[in-house]
Amino acid sequence: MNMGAKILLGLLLARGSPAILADGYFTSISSTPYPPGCATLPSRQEALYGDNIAHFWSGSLWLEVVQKVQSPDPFKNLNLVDVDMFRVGCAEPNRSVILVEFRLRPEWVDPRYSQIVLPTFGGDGTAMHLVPFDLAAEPNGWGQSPQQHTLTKRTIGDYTGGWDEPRRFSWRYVLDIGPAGAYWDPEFLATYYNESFPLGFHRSDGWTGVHVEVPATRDVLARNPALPLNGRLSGTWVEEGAADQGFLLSFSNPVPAAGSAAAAPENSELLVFLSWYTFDAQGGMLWLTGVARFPQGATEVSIPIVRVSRGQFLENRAADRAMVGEVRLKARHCNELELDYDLADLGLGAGDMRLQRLHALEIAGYPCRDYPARLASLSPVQTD
Amino acid sequence: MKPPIILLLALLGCSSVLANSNFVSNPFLPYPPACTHPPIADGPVDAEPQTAPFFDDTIMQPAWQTGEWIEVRLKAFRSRCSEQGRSLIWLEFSLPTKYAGRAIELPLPWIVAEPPDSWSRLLQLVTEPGGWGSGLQFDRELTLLVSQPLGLEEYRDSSVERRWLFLLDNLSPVSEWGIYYGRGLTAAEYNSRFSLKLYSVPHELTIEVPATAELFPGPLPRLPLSGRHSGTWVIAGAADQGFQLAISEQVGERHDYSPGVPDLPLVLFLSQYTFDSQGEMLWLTGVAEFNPGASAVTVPIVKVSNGQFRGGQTASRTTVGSVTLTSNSCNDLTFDYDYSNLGLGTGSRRMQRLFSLETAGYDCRDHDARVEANTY
Repeated sequence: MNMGAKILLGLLLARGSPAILADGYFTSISSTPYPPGCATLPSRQEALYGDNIAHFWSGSLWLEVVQKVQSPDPFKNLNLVDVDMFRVGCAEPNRSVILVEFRLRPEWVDPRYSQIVLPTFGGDGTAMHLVPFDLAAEPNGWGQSPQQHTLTKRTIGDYTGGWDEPRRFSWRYVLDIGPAGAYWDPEFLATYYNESFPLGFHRSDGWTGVHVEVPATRDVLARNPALPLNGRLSGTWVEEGAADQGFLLSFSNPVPAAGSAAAAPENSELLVFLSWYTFDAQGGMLWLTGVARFPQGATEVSIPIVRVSRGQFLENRAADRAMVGEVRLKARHCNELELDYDLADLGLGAGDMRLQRLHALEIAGYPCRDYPARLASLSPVQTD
Repeated sequence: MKPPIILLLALLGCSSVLANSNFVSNPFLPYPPACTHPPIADGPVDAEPQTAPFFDDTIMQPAWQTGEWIEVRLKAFRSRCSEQGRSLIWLEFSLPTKYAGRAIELPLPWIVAEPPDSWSRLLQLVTEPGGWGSGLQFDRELTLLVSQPLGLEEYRDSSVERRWLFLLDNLSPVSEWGIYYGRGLTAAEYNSRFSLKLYSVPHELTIEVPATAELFPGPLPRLPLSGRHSGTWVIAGAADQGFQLAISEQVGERHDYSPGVPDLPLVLFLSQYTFDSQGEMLWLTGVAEFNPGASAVTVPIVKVSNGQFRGGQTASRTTVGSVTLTSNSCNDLTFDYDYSNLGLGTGSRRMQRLFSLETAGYDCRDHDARVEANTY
């Protein structure tokens, strides 16, 4: 660790009072520099977001590689490792996720013992802007505390033996903000992450000799045209200008009944439950509900709409249920749904509307957008 | 382990391109996701810690670089969840203060669970619970415990122990090891009595893990209201009516950047769709703010009428009653209502999940508990 990094870490820890509420019970991590609804496991990112990927750097680095016989001299443990860096586009405007891939060269691999000691990353060389990045195998998480983080070191490796197919020795991570980054201004972090910035590699022995110029998201990627429907879209939604009415959406993944066969997670369907609180043609109270199932990855779903009447408060008398129309729901991004409806049977005609979040509210601990994007949408005028 | 088997299993695993936290929760967790949180969080949830240690001893570990034998204190304990018969298993490693100021690197041991009536399963230690695991297709991660004398003042302080806390978890189902070993421990196995074997070269250590029920015989603690309670809820026996809850966080007016401290209180939005005393359609809504850690919140209930479909005409809004929601567990809320002004009286009922539905990718209960409760 160089002197600049030590000073920075010391300052950060001095500021870092115990994070007593920092947990997944209550709030999301606000320093995530990418939209949580965009980032997924690095190995899945490409499958989900297709070819909206910019490969912006390729090179080789001498990194610490652990072999069967380890030398106490760290310089004798260095191996040349190939590194590639990508930006993967999101449905949010001007947002992407940065991926870093490491590859051990097959001719140097000891299939049973080879491991790479991962480098750490800093966003710049100057003390004022040394943004402490980290490699996350699972994005959107809290990571470790700064205290615990400095006491653990991840290495990656292979222990299976006997099968030395070269692709086994490549690993892909999301470039994330480390635990120390949680103390930075989140508005600064998301902006910084998506602009052009210099990224320094810091090897385990403290050496820093490579700086990569990361291009700005808007210079290399277009926005994804749609967002797959997912649980992060759950919550309260409104149409601007429609007073005293709105929608509640719950996206769920159903489980089978006890005793029946379970679908594999990748094959399980999702379910959306929509309720629409509005008024009929006479201005009377009207609530409409709808349920539909759809496959994972779908970006739109059609929902038959039901009106329920003549029931009994908290009792079991069956009400009258009538199918009164249909709604088609599509997600453009985390704060914009398109809803086409046909309620002609109710005398309300057909139409389409754009739904947005009410007061930028998103499910506690499970938001879709990054923090600055949510803050920005609190202003009445949105340009995207 | 035969390479062709691995290859086949790995290829089967490749089909799961979309199984990720964007869409579904990891169904292979042996504990309720709402019970877990990163070890850094020691706030209101642990204000009255319900933990029970079952192992505390010094073990010898070889230093990774030098091979020197190092004394490591290992503590193991269960911490209780608000779900019936569920707890978490934690392992804490610490270095005695006599090693202060020295650079020491220790590999984490391999950990295998041996349930009494089933086959052995490889487990892993995680610092971030409730997720899909590393997601590395072909490898698992290894963590080294590193005590470095450089840098922080507190690590040069000989009175401070170096300490690492991990949750005992199943292997990631998307890693090669997870695919090969199949499903890890079930929730029932994780919470029953079993043997834990630590293969820390060259010695093997066996820890007998007591069952959750043996360690925590008392009444269950309450679960704080959280985003994981969001979704569709019903009262058993009340036909064609129900509730939708959205528990959200607000942004804005932030004055500092302490991680995890919300800008503003959390927000509960409740909607109840039901019927009035004449059997006519009635929807009621309510919004209330509450502080993180609360397990009960009172919501004023509003009836909105004389509005305009998609129009800007302001409707008539009347506060017609109040509801108090109390969280007992992930599938159990108490609904106390006062709808006297609507002629619907007062009462207390129990709310449960409809069809065990929970927010996609953000489950509250473990998968087994959801399946078990899915009797509607």
